[in-house]
Amino acid sequence: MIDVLSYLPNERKATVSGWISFNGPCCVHNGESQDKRKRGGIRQQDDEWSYHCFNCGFTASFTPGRPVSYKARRLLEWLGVDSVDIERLNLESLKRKSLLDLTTERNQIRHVDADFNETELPEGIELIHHNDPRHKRYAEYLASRKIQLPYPLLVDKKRGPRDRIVVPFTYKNRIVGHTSRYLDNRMPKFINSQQPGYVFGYDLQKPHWTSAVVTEGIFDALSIAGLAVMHDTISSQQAQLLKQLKRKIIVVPDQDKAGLSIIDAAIEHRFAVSIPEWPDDVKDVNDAVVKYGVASTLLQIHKNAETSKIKIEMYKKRLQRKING
Amino acid sequence: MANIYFGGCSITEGDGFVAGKEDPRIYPNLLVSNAINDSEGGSSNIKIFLKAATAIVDNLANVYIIQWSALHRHWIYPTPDSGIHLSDTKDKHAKWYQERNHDYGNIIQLIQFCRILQDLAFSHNAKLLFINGLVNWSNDIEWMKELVADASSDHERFIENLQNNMELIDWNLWINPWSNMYDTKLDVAEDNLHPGPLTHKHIADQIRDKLIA
Repeated sequence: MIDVLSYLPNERKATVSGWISFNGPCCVHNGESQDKRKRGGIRQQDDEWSYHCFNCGFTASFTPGRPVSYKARRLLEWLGVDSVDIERLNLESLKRKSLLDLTTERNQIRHVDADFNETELPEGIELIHHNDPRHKRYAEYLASRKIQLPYPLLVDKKRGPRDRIVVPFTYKNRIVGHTSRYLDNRMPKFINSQQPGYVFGYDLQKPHWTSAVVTEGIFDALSIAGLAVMHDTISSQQAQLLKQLKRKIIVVPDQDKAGLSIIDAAIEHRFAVSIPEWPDDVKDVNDAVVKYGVASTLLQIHKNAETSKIKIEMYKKRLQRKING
Repeated sequence: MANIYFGGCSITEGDGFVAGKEDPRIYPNLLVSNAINDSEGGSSNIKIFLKAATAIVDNLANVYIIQWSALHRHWIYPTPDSGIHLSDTKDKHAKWYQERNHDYGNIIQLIQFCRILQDLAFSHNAKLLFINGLVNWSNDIEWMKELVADASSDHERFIENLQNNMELIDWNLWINPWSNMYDTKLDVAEDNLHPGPLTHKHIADQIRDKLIA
């Protein structure tokens, strides 16, 4: 396939949303004067790209598996792509067609919007108020884990046999389960009331975000407004729910033995994996947030996000060596 | 580890908070454990720009978060160790300066600062975000006409110039382009003047969201 970005002029600007703007080559062919304000914009994802000019209004796009359209051909010519290379791109694209059709068909069959039953929270609980002296212990615990997200966290009104923080699970703003995080250092630390296929943090994701960070633990997710599968693997139903978000999914494994299996699950579901090189005292996202802060952690996660299977497996081996000491 | 640089005026410096720059409740400290906080109370935009540009050229960080201050602020230095803050209208020099330097030029100048920083950051492979700390502007052209209504000049030409220049700014880099931190102030700090902990938290949340998006 042609790397269309390599044909763009050197003078270009990249935006955070992934668009690269440059002086559109199309305007002079469409009755407008030469663009000098970088009004042409292109956005590429894998081999797929789309182009829009905000000066002359010309648009073009290319999707592997489909023929190179007339407009895409013209744009490529204006960018200086050789006509032989354009023809080769067309042939390669058509070779993919049959495979693409099959995948699209399969995805259509598998695409069923997830839903969960509404459930009740445990009785006798109340919201944690940071200024309430009765809740000082919990507020301090959350502060020590750098949980700053305004999420409704609850505690028992009357302390039960084990001191706990209750985290409600929501999906489309309905309560669909909860987990209890016990603070007494006894096992189990968590007891979940989780429906199959549920992923925590779905409602925290904002519509305009272009990526979502998936972690194992709920406090990892709470510290970066991410998602948590609350297990060391990702089930097919959970993967389906994550794909429903229609954005780049970045899985960040815990840097321990359990983390290795979630990497395999991420590869299986074709999600990106990020394994930042953290020191030994940083085992997961929440540890990183405590040590570096939320902004640094998010930047490290995005910088290390990898989609290539070979590279992910290479990083997995590196992590494995680190874990084995 | 990702180094994050924060530039700005008293807001980012943590004025009004007991521990100032070290206070854990100000937005740089809510986002990063070891923030490079290069902000300084009373800074003018030119000072913020020069410090940020130097930091980018020196590759001080991977991410630069720049909070812009009030448009009319300016400093002059009659002697090497003393500066006069020209936004203090009690000072006769300041009054003279304010009368003769309208926000016309200051707005265009700020846009140029943004453009230069955008290009500098891109060429140094660094991320850049802007925060509107105290910039008194709007994307409503009618409102902007009001802002400069006192000045005796060609308004239409200014507005055209402004529109042309504004198109060159990458608005995706802005956290809150059209509402400054005083417009959206949710609370005040201990000095009863500067934005308080809730406002800092709000800004930190918006920056975090921007980093995810």
